[in-house]
Amino acid sequence: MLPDLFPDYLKFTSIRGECESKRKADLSEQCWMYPTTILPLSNFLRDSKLEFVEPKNRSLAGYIDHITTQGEGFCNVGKTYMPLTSLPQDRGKAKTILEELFRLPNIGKGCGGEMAFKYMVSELVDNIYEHSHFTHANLLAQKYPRKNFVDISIYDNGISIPGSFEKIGLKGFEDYDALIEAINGLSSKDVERGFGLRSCLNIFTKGLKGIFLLVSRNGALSARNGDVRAYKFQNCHKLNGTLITIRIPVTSAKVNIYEYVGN
Amino acid sequence: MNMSGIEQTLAIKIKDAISQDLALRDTANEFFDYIETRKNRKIAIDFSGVSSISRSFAQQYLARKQKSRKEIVDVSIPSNIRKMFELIKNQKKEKNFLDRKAIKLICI
Repeated sequence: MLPDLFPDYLKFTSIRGECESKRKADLSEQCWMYPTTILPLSNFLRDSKLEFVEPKNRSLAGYIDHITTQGEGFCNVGKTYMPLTSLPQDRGKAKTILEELFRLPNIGKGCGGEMAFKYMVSELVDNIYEHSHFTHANLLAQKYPRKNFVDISIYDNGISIPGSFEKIGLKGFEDYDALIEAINGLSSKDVERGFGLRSCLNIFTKGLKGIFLLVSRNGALSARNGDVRAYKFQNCHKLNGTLITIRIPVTSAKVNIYEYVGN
Repeated sequence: MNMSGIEQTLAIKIKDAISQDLALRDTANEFFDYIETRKNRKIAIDFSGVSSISRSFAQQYLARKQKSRKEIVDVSIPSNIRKMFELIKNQKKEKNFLDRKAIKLICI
């Protein structure tokens, strides 16, 4: 059975809390982290400007360095399934980044096939440009052959899903409630929209028996084959922005995405 | 692109104009903004060589095509792209995709 993703997010909030209380980010003893921890942690380190001691693990140090110091494009450190990718704020340039990403050899191999992978990345990146008003956004995918799963994470530091609803006057939701509404198809744009998140959740939890984790501001939602949990956070677990991670078993099977994107 | 008089059909290969992977909604908008500036009344959009399409791109493509004053014909559509267009034309959004009663709430 695939290990839960939510503890990986709690690892981020735990490290963040420790860094804030010590006024220093000493990651020297951190050996490895999953993308669900790395992406929000690196963004926190960039924004907090705390004194920073980098981890001994070179790949982890490379990822953190790329996110904290560089603007956009790829970072080819370590053995990643998909390189750490930083999205440009200019959505005109995003097309080029996606083209380069989709040209990588073996893209989608082992995680549902090229179509499923491209579909998920396209929909989630599109959501970021359409709704989030971010200044920083990153994607990272890692394959763990011994553990037999792949993690694909995407993070943006934008206004969050609850924030995007509030922006158009949709107020009164708890944050976790806003996430349920977003999956159920509520869109801050129009009624024809709001399929992106649910179709990704459907493909990867039903089609590929994976786990889906969505964290946004003071709420989170995790889904695993019919088991759906909503999380209501105290402020110590709050995320500035939105994080989505999909964890799927390594599989050579190709999922027929059209069975899962229709409703 | 073959550009000529108003009554001649302008043929556009979308793979060359955009990409073999049609991903972002806004790219569909930019594509149609370009089409609307052309003199030709008839436009043939050739989908050959297109590898993938997101739902967002496909939805925006169909919406802009419907609103366009041009006579637009899609040609050489690969089967996977056709399936996505069909799904969108027949889409029915389940209002309660996630059943709230079945969701466990955890305060942390």
